[in-house]
Amino acid sequence: MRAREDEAKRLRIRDAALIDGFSQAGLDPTLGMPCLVAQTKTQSSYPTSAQTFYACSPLTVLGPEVEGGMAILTVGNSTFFSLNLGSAVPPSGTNVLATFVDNRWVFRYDG
Amino acid sequence: MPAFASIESTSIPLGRPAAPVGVFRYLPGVVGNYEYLSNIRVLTIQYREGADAGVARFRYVFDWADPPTDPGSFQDALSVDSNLPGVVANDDRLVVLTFDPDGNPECLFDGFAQVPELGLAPDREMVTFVAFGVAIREWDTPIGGALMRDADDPTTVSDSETDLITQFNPGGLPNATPDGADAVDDSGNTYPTFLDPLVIREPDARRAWTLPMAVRYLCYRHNPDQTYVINPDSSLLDALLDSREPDSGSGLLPDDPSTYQSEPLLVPDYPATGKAWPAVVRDLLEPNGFGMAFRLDTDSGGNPTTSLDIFRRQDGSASTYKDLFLQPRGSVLDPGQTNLAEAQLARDFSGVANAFTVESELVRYEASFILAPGFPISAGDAVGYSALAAFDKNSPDFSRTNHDMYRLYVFDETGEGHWNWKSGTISTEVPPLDDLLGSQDGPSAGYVKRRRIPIGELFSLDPNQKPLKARLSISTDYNGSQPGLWDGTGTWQPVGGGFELLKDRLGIWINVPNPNSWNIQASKVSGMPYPAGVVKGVEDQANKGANHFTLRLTCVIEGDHILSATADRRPSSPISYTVLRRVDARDRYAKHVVAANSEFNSTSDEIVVRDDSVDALAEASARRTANEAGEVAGVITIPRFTQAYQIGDRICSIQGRDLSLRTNAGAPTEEGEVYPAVVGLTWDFDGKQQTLLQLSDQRGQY
Repeated sequence: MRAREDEAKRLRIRDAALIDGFSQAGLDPTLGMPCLVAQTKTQSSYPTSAQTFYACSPLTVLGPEVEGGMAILTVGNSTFFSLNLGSAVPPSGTNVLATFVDNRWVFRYDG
Repeated sequence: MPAFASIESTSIPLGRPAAPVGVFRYLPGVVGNYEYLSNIRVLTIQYREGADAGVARFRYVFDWADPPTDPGSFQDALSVDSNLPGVVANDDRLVVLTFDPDGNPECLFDGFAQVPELGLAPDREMVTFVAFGVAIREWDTPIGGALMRDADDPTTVSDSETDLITQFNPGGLPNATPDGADAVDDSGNTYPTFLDPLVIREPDARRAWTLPMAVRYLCYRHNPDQTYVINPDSSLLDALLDSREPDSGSGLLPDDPSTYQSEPLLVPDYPATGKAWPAVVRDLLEPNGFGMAFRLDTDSGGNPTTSLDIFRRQDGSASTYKDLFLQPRGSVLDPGQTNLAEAQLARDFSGVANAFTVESELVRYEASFILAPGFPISAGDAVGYSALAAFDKNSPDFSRTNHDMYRLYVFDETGEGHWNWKSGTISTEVPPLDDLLGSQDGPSAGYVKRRRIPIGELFSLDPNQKPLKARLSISTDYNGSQPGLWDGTGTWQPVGGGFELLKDRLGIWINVPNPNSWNIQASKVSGMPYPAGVVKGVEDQANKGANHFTLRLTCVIEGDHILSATADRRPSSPISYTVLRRVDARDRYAKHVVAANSEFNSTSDEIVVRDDSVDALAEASARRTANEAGEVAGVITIPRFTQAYQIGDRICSIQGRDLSLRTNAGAPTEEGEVYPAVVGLTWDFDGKQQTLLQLSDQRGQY
């Protein structure tokens, strides 16, 4: 009788640990590399050559999803830096597609 | 003139005729209802407390006088195709009747014949068989699936048969339908049904199963037509099946509600599917000090009726008290003053347990913890491509020695080492948990330095009343202790993914391929430290000029103590020492606290979201009541047939010898007295008639 109770207690403890373990499993998964629409901006001194880092602000894209619908772009107030891989200098306020590769944000602007 | 008068009752003769006892085949609906079986003798009838239907043993009397009716030999009685009226067929319903002096029948047994046996010897042949009480029919169909209520409308009585397991309070979760919305059986008795325990509404419609609720469900759901057994009354169940904690300074008088606090008794996590409902009732009642018995009565038409009786075993309530009688040694035998022929009694206190602790799971706390790097940090780790590549699992330059570098963040509750930003070294100083778990040095309320495994489901709920998941947040302006309990300051951005909780200690592990490109999801909230959503986990920590980030983990951890639920020794205990027993009730009792520093606690005080202390204490009190008195166990033999003693009767004393059988000696005089109960009753008709009483209180089994 005692052995059965002990076994039942062990099973209950294992069961409780298993339930706690499951509760850990549902956390948010690993995400892929981010990609976002950004707008170059002048933070203090705007770059004058192409293959340098540009200050950018993320854009939020909205608008009616119909053919010919006009996009609504909203500029965020935060700043990150992205490398221009292209051959031209984008004017300040140019919208670009930035993606994070390895350790840095990059975009390409060829004019 | 002096006078003298005396009244003397007629003395009871030493020899008296045996009680007339006959065996009948019960044929309800047929004229007279009974068919006398002159060739059948009853040998014994036995009843026991608990889920016991009762059993009787019978014997054939072989007689060649009437061959077309009665069997003359064992082959007639045992033949499976015998059609002799005097042969009892399997499942024939037999009733044993006796008759009072007025000739009125009284049922002693009502059951179904089974299991014939042959005893063949050179000098005799004997065929016997046993019959089980009619309550045995309640074992025919075990409990199947649960009767469940739609979760979208729990207050509307509309239940569905399911094949889901009938399980009370699974995992400690309440799963009974709400109050005031009980189902109704054919007799008008109400009972709760089952509700999905995972659906939490505001207000919460779920109820935890208490003892009377569960017994009502079992009786009224699984014995609705009461064909063989009459169910107990629902109001009686509600009034009886509670825990009674004596008020301080006064004794417990069970019939005086002002002397105790009544608390409901919760049913443990109990799966009932596959078991007979009486067995489940017994399993639920016994640990809490309640007994049950199937009682046979005779209705006004002379028909047998069996009813389920539930009673409190040991609390001194005004029940049926009886005495035994034995004249002093040397007295002239008077059957009116002596009914005790033999006795084997033991007064046993070895099984007494007069204090009970009901063990809940360890108290759990939701809190926000500041983590520290669980690795050394060097500025050289972020110098150039090759240095960074050593931490990137996708890079050919990845070094296995960097497995935890820039990925492991810990609370370091056991002082195994964490990065100290101020000293620039690995520190083994343990951050205090005193504000969460009490003083570390407290003898009963403190904590020990041990690993705390994070539990990923929080006590805080989302707007849909679902528990939130553990949350990791990141900040670059936190100035509090690292590691340590969060002090409420800093600007924090939730981390959207790329990490997992550690399975062996309080902390997280960043599981992205490259910790220097940790995607935590962009934030559009103004002022967040990583609006673009990428954390350079190596450079931001290793570069001296960078804004080092801090991680905050909100999760649940266990403390080191259970909730307090101990029923201490009472004066009524017959022994002077405290004998403590611990009841494992982790499946149903818990205490959950949202600490003041949890990011989801908007107040400045801790919030107790669940505390089963009262329920646990009620169970502890009930178990103490059931086990605190001693036990008088044994067998009493009364040298005649008598119906004066029944299952559940309390035997107070042996009159004539001034021997009290009280088992709670030492209790205050104003407190009820506890006596051993009759738990087994046997009528022996084989040869001389006698009645055997089995006496016992419940033994401590913990």
